[in-house]
Amino acid sequence: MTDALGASPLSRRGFLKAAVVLPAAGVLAACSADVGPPATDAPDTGSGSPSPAAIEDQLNVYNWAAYLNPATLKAFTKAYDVETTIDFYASNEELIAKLQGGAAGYDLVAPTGYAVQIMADEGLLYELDHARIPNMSNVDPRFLGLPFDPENRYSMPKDWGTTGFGYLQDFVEEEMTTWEDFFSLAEKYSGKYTVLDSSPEVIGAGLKRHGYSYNTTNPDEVDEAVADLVAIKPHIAAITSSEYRQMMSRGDAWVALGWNGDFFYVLEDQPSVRYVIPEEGTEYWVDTWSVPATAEHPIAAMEFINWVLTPENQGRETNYTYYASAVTGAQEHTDPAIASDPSIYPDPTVIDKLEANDGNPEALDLRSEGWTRFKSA
Amino acid sequence: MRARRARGPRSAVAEPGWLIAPAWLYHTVLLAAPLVIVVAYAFADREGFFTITFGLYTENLERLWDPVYLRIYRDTFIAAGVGTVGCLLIGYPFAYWLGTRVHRHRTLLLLLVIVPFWTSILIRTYAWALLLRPRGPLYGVLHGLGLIDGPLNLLGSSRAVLIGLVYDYLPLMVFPLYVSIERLDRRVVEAARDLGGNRWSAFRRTTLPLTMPGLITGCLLVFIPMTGEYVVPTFLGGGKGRWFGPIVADQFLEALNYPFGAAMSLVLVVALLLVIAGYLKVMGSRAGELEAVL
Repeated sequence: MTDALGASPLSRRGFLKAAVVLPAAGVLAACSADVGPPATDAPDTGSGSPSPAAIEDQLNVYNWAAYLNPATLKAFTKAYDVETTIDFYASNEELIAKLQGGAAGYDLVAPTGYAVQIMADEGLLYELDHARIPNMSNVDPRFLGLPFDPENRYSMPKDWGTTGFGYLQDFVEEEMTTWEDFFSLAEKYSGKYTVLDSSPEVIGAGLKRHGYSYNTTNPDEVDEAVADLVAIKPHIAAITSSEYRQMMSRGDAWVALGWNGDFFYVLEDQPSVRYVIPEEGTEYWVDTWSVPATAEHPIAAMEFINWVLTPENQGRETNYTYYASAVTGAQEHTDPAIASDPSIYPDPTVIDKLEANDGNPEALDLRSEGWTRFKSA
Repeated sequence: MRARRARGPRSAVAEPGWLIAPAWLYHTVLLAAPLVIVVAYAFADREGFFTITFGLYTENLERLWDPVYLRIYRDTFIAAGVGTVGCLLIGYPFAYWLGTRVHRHRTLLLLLVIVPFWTSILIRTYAWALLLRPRGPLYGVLHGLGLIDGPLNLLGSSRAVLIGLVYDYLPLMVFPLYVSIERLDRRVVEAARDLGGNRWSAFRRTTLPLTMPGLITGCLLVFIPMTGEYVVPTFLGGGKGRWFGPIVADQFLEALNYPFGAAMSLVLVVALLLVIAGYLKVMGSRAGELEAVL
């Protein structure tokens, strides 16, 4: 298990337009339980631990849409008397491109592991002061010191999840359990498929179907994966990372390649939705909280990171995002239905088959080239 | 300034040349400079993600000779061409009617053409995505009329993209057409009829040639931005068609390959310049008139 998680993490969840779609009311109700006065959550460790008064009065967040519980942000705002703003991006690559392009004014971002590695190498990230983040001790050690950031100098784990597919059992007759099922049933359910608009995940699905690594640098293996994808392309209704939840909720899409937590948003309208971690194995990713090098309010950002790394606040986050927390004990503060769901907290034997994006530029180039071939097929 | 002005009306005739400087500056800094950057990147070499070496590397441009990429250009041009013809087929009769038959409510009608244009293209396009849903409002109407049985299979197809393109770009076609049709000297058309031409030949030999500058301007105004269109193929086409815009965006945001994205853009710019040069050549002596409308 440690080996699998040690591989080096990965890609996200993300809903650009979905920001307007509020999660089920029942979920919100579940969230409200733990909105405690936050400043007291963090055990004050004394040495170098800053008081709330010592942080800046502003915090500008740049995040995936629907990926931070508004209640969490509101509670932080109240406790520390800071102003907060929030902007959204739709992919790690977009975040990297924006920061690399000189976008300034953001204090807190949520890149996936491999993106942390790329940005740290580029000098785009601020070096965290661990003395300001004593709650790092709450994090499950499995999620610390991962290869993308071996000493956690630039990032703290936010949550983690998997990339697989979801389908509506009301419409799909077969029981789907593998990538093989995903590919072979596309023709039968033509026009009811969607895939993410993101090359690692989609090409990775083709790679995993054949038992290859997500991070392969072998062009023949990528070619094979792309050929499989080109073959099912006529049956794909949309290539989108932001619309598939709504399409599934309306019953316009029946099978969607996506991130595990996203399918919970479909549950309310389509109770028969089922998320599959394909048996051949798939990708897992760890998303993080990081601070851009250009941050104007890094102290506030680190204070937020510390504050959010408590089991209570993590439980509230999972209730909202449906993604598993990396903090020990967070499950006890999570809605039991969510905490016990194997698609959010998979069985350890399943975790062993997961692999993370290692951020290798060579692999990314190969996939990008294949991605263009898929899109132009 | 005041002293100079006092010299009399002469200074108004012979303006000092430096007064044009702001316009030149604008063109150099805001128009030429970004293009120079695109050219520089197109010929640059890349290592890792962001280690760019500028020079005269041609690998990016050579890579474009792959049929995969040539097909993207071809299909984008064909689709933009079809979209342009679609705009023309709707825009010309409308502009003609507006310019020749409507007198009382002309301003109001022109305004109605512009109003949607004030709204963001993103919102207008998203509105179409809602209309065209498999069980959306359009389905409701067609189903109610008994014209279709199953759900509407438009969204995510090239037909949906065409509908969106024609809708979004129609005003850009109507305006130049309207201007040249409205300016048309009706006596020339009457003379053609008097001299024995039937309606069709009078139109073909007088109205059409005389409104050609507006027609060509409209086609260029519509065709060129269509080739770079991003929003419509993404929202209405399901992001899966062979469209230049989304694929070049992928090179920057997904592949993090700026040089290759720049090379793709550069080739499109050159191809469009060729198209425009071709138009101007075909127009030949009409170049002057065209300029007048542009």
